[in-house]
Amino acid sequence: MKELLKVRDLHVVFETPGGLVQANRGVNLDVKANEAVGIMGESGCGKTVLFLSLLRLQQPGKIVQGCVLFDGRDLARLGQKEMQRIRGSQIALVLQDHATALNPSFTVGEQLGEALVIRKNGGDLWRTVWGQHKLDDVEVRREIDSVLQDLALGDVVHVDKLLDKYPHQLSGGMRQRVLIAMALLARPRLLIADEPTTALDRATQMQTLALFERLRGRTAMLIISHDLDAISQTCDRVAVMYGGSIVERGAAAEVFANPRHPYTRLLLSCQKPRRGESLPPVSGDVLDLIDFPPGCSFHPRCSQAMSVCSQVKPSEFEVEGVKVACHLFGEEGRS
Amino acid sequence: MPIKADKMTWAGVAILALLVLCTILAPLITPHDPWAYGRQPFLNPGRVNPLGTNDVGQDIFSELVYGGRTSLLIGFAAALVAVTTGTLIGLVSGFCKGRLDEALMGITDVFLVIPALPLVILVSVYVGTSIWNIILVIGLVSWPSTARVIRSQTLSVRESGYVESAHAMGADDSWLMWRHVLPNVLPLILARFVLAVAIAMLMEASLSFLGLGDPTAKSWGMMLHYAFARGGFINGLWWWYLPPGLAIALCTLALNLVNFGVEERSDPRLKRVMER
Repeated sequence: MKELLKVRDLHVVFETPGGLVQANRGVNLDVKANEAVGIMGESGCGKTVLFLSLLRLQQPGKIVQGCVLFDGRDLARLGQKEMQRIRGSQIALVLQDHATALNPSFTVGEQLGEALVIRKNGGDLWRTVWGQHKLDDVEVRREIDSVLQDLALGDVVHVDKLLDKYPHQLSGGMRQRVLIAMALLARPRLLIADEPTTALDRATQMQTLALFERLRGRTAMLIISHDLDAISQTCDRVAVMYGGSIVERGAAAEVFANPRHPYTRLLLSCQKPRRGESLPPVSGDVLDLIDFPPGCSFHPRCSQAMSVCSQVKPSEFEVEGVKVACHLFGEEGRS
Repeated sequence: MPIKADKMTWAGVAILALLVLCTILAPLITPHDPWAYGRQPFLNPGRVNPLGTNDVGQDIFSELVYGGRTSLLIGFAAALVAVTTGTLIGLVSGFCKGRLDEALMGITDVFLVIPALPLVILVSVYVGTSIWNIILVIGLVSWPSTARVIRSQTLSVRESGYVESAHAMGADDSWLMWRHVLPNVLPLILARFVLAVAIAMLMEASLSFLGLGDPTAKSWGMMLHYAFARGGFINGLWWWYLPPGLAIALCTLALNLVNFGVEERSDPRLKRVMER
């Protein structure tokens, strides 16, 4: 299948008074059309900066190297005007915090309508004011109904009542669904969801995951999450991130069954401790994003580190369809 | 408590509406032309002249009602100038950040530091005293605090999830500012406006009292000025200086009552309590 999104050697830095923060250092990532890809990794590993960079919303961070090929075009080099047309209608974003992601001054219906207007007018206020594409209420309603139908929400909720409500009158789960519906209204080719289940209770998490499962195969998705269950349930492939790079990526089933990179193994072993077992402690310090260790950024915490690990940054090695950036799978590891 | 605040607001609105209505219907209410001379000066209140006459024989009650026109006009117009300027500068400053923000806030700080009344006096001496000059001058000195308040609110709103969300949906900067930031600072703008009217009216009264008002227009401040200058205070002619003073106080009170409610309503948490 053709690749929809192809990120190659992406470097994003932030200039701070304390020094240059390297949030992304050489990210490689592929998303095929209609494929769901999960990104997991600890806090501060660069997941958020990565997806913001895809939309060029990473300011004040700077993309200093690498490319983001979306449908053959390099987003890292597009102008802001062209980027505006990509945002929303090509790549849509569902933000993590559903409590603040809706404008408290407008009803759900008004905000869903706004998403449509932005799509039609390319987010240009003046074109909208001068009314090049006036949307009538019937058209807006038809689009909203069809998206809610896609999400199988048409029967669950009373649509008329929902559209007249203000965000603060909705439950967290409902707000999350409205956000997803809003993103889908523009019929994006890639949907990015940042921690879609984090701020929800268990039951609502299940409902939200069911939504993503419904969407699976119909639109490409990039799901960023700490919750490995969420990723294993909804994604075809996963990418594990550490220290601003992706250390392992491949089919979800394979990575979860046979984690290869020492960091992936550590991450998965922390996920579900059996009763009475304590979590394995992780030695070493959390990574300093300004002062990276030479070689593999994980080697100070790695139990299988070799001498080469502290000298050479590993490139990706392919093992049974899984790409692992670790010297254990290179020449040094085999010998 | 919130319900009480609501009642106070409506009381303020009622008083204000009454005053505005009186000045609009001035020709119907007033028994005489406020400019007409020829009556006997310094008359005590009576049937023909409800509040007596002034030093040149003009009917004080008619002066009072017509004076309200000028005072209210200056108050509202100057507040409009001040709040529009302040809002524009605050919005742009908070939204664009960086160099432009620093420059605009630098100017704002300079205006904030200069005491308002002496500056107004100074400027009005230079530009001359017509109603429109007074409006501009009062507007000129009253925008900085509004700019500050709007900027800080803009800063917090622009970092909110829904602005980021709309940005990610493909909205441009002017869209974000107009559709997302402005509606969420609007209650604040309204509250500032009501307060600015009260401040502008007081400032107009002070200016006129000092003799820097428009001598060709009648306002409550000018009435106080003449009452003071022509011996009304010394001779205890309370019907000359008390009514305009009370009118100014009443108007300011009403505006502050309205402001009280608007400010409470701009806080969504309190709003929900009121709806219950």
